[in-house]
Amino acid sequence: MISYDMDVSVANRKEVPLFYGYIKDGNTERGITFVLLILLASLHNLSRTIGTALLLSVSKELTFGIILAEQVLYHLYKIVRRDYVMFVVGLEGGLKWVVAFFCHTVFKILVDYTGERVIPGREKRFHRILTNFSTCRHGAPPRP
Amino acid sequence: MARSAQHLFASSNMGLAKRVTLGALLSVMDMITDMGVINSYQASGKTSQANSLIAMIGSSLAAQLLFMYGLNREKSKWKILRESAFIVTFLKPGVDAYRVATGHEDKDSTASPLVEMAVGKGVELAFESIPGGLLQAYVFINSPEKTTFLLVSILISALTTGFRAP
Repeated sequence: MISYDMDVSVANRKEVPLFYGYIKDGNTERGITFVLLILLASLHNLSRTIGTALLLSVSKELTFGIILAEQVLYHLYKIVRRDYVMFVVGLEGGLKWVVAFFCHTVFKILVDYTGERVIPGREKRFHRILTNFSTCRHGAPPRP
Repeated sequence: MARSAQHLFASSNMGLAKRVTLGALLSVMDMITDMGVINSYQASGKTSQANSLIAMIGSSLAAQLLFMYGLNREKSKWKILRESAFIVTFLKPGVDAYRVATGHEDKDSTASPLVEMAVGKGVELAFESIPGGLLQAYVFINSPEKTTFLLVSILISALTTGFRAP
């Protein structure tokens, strides 16, 4: 919804009219875009939540193992791409690594459960592969 | 004339009131259903699940209040109190959406309304909405008593998460 808020913002549209304005100005079009964006994120969240809850009821170890593996792979990917630490004024030394670790972990959880729209380009494809891998959890072994 | 009308149309805040109202309504409904779920868990002896849900809501509120104080520490006590009231009453997402859409400016604040909204939503999602929804779904699947109220609460949680999503 942040992309929606940014796009319909009067200030943004006046400042950068060539970039903002992909949501049409008609009342119906705006309404449809708004409802579809909410539904998209809600259904994604519902699907992922139900999938995780089902796996959790089958095996707690497997669930935490998969979540941990996803996180480790994501962090490794960011490190390999030299895209781990973020530039923030005042953050130096070990603190910037701690903040980066916290931020990446939270971002990964948010993207996992709400959609992939905040991750651009190549990372989006990588993340999609990870998500598809983890949604194979529906085929987890039956409860003993 | 047509060009002026088109410009006016493009720069209008159509639907803003409805969007803010929906955000506020969803937040309040989510809060009410969460309270109901906690009550229901406690009544059926699921004390640890009820406490987990309370801890999630509490940690989300604490993180949001901490972040809000960090951003608004230069402001007067009344303004800090007003912002705290928005957070505690779960109306913050609606207020943030209104401020971003109207291009609200505040010289005393260290971040723009958009940054404030993005971080607020992120904190709320990571600490309360996502883990809360997951816990409710897990309990619903494993509980022999599957009431409509618990199901509605999960669906409202998913809708609220969808509304708060980036």
